[in-house]
Amino acid sequence: MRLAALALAALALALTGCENNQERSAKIEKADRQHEEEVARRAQLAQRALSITHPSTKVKVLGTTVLRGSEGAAAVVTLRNVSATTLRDVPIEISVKDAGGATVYTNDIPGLAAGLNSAPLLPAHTTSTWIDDQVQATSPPASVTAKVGEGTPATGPIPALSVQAAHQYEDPTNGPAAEGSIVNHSGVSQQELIVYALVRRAGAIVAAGRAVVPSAPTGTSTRFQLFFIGDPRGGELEVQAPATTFG
Amino acid sequence: MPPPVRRIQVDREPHVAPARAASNGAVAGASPAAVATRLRSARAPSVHVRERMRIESVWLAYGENWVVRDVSLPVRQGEVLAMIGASGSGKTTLLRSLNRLTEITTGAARAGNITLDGQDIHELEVNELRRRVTMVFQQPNPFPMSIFDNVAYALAERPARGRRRRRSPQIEEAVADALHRAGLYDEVAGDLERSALRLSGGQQQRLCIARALAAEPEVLLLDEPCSALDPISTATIEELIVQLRDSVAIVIVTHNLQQAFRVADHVAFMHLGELVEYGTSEQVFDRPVMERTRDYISGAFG
Repeated sequence: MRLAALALAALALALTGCENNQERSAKIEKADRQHEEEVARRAQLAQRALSITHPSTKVKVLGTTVLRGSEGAAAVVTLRNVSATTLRDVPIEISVKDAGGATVYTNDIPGLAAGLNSAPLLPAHTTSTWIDDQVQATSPPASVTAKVGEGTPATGPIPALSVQAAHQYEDPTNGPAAEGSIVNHSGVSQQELIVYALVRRAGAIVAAGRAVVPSAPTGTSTRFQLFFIGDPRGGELEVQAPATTFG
Repeated sequence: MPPPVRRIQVDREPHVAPARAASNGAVAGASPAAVATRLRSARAPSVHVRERMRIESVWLAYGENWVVRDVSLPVRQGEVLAMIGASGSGKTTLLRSLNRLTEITTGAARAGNITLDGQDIHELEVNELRRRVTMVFQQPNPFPMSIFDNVAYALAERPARGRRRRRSPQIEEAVADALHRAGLYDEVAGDLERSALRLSGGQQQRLCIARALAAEPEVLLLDEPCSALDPISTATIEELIVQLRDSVAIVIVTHNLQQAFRVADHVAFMHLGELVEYGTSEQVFDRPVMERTRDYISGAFG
């Protein structure tokens, strides 16, 4: 009788789609493990000094832009994965030069933050934007060149994410900013998600920024906030948030 | 039409209390537990209590959903007000409404009044408001430039594109003062030209607080300012928050109940958009009146 009642309760739980504590714990544990793995993977990537010996044949650099503002300097690289393979952790080496052609910043030093020397994801046959908003140039930067290395082929479906309600605003102490939400439609919780934002005016890139969202759990909307380098006023905002964590 | 909700009466008159104990000084390196004990035991109410903002019957909505419902609260200089509650309780939305960050979201709507020194914040020019009511975010956001330039950014004078910031004695004094107030000066004074990106996470957050303070705000809004920091950095910032409350009204949103207990003079507990309970930190944590507050504090939900 008691067994029947328990079975009935379990069946009811299953039918209503409710989660019991055990399932919830397992889910949290899995997300924690994925987070730790992603952080460790990125830390390992960041430890290495970047050195690209064989430029990628799968990824083309379509354009580069240097931005300067009272908030500092940033480099923007537009890339196209021309292959049929989606790539992860694609190394990107940039060299920022001043008006005289002297190199004033490179991102080939170890210990840079996540995503400052690699693109997390370049889907097949897709154009993507990569941004380094931490260009610490020794003199005013004027141009940037970029070299792209071989990434890791991604296996399985790409987790589906979307950007919602992204908008710009002014903040006199923190600088021009944007915020919005990342909705994770996939079944894979995203860790250390990098959000790239750029603003175009009359087709030209006039401001760029990035944010790292520590975690974007599956099926939820997670707010992001980023601060621009450049002057985004009156421009059109574009935001990308490529997946970082695969199942 | 919004559903009827229970109104919570807040004090009309600022509470003036006995003199506060002397400042505890810098705490870098102290253990978090030691700082926590010191914070609670050495604190006495500030003598500088003065109402700076008033939230009066405020309703906030995104689209069709009312996420803040009929909330009234005072925000006082000389006090730290902590807003606590589970995710989705409306505390962050309410915090962001204090410098009109909510209105930039498409479909956002507001009812009720928020005043700063008696003036409706919607009558103020938005940048002026955000200078007077500054926000520090969860993740430190230093600019890729020197420590000096990061703080000087908040001062009114900005350099032309690509030019170095002019370093007048007034600007140098203002930057040093802001770094002092943020408890960072002694650690960075030797090299203000060092890149801010080379600071630790806790130092970067204090730099962001220094930048916010350089604008000489009346109110400092802290949106989970320690969520990305280690316990030692968290302890340092908590002590800083307590020290700063004499000169600026502080509102902090935190999920960390122990942090709220350590730093707050008053606590507002929110649930599903309603202000369930508001009172002194000791009252809310030790003798909560409402059952939902008791449940939340005891970990029954959230």
